Amino acid sequence: MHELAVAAELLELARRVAADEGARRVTVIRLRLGAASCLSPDSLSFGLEALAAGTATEGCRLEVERVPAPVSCPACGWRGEVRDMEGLICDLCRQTPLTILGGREMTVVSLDVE
Amino acid sequence: MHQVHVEHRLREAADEAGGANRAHFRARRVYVVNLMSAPGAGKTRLLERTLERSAGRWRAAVIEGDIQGRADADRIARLGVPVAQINTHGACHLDPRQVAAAAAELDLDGLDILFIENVGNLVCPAEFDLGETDRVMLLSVAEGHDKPAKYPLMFSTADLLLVNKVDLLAATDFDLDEARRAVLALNPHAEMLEISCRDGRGLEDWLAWLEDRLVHARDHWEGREHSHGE
Repeated sequence: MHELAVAAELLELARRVAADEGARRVTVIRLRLGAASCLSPDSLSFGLEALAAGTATEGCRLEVERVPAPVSCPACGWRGEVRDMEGLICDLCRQTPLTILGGREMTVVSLDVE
Repeated sequence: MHQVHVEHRLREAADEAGGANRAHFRARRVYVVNLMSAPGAGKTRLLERTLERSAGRWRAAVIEGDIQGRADADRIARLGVPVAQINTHGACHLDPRQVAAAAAELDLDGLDILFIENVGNLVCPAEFDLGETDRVMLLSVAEGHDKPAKYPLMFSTADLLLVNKVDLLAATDFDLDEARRAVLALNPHAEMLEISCRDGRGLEDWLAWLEDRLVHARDHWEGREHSHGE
């Protein structure tokens, strides 16, 4: 996943929000990441730190809320949620691979500005 | 200090561009394949073989994606097939906006199939919706049957997996059953074909798959019932 490109998008969003709110700094960015979203929060923090130097977002903290991915079994119809994308086998059938129904979201929920 | 709620979807601009491409291709009734693989798995050779065998059957065009150079576009051009080359100058994947610009260089009127040959890479291309109808992934036997488990996003979003270079099976430890199991575990709907662009085996099955998908797409766009399988 292109954490640096995502960090650049976050930075631009933060700049716009800060300008709209007449704020000087962005101190917190809250993200909601689905379990199937393939984004590494650590890499993202690192990228953000690198790009935010000297901007209103410098020193900003990233808070990540992880949400599970909905899954279903194509054989028995069982539906559930998973937080870990490895070894997705249906608990009921014990052998059928689960279909991933969602959990790819990457959303900026809110920002704290001052 | 105050909190500002935004609910901003990341990658929204790129997703929208992919959606816009899809609508554009659909409006022109062009069936689009996003062809992906690791470098050297045989994408360009597959396109050459496909275009040679389907000449006169479909009107096709190609968008080539590479970091730099025109080597692949030149190979396609030699076959008399319209081709546009995207150079990413360092980016490791194709972006839907680049595809839109390249498609504008081609005449889509009367085109049956547009092949997009993505940059050779098992990681990043899978993350970008180019607006394609189907995703075809190429895995050569020299790469190993463990790749699906190691690159889940790429293999889980492929509609068809072509296992290429099966003429080399005896020289490798590639286990076809293991590869099939690993791919189906990620994507129960994926289909798999074994091919060799060198000796030609499996290529007619690949063309039959394309033909079926092309007809299916057209039926879907025209609101017709499709009788094969779905």
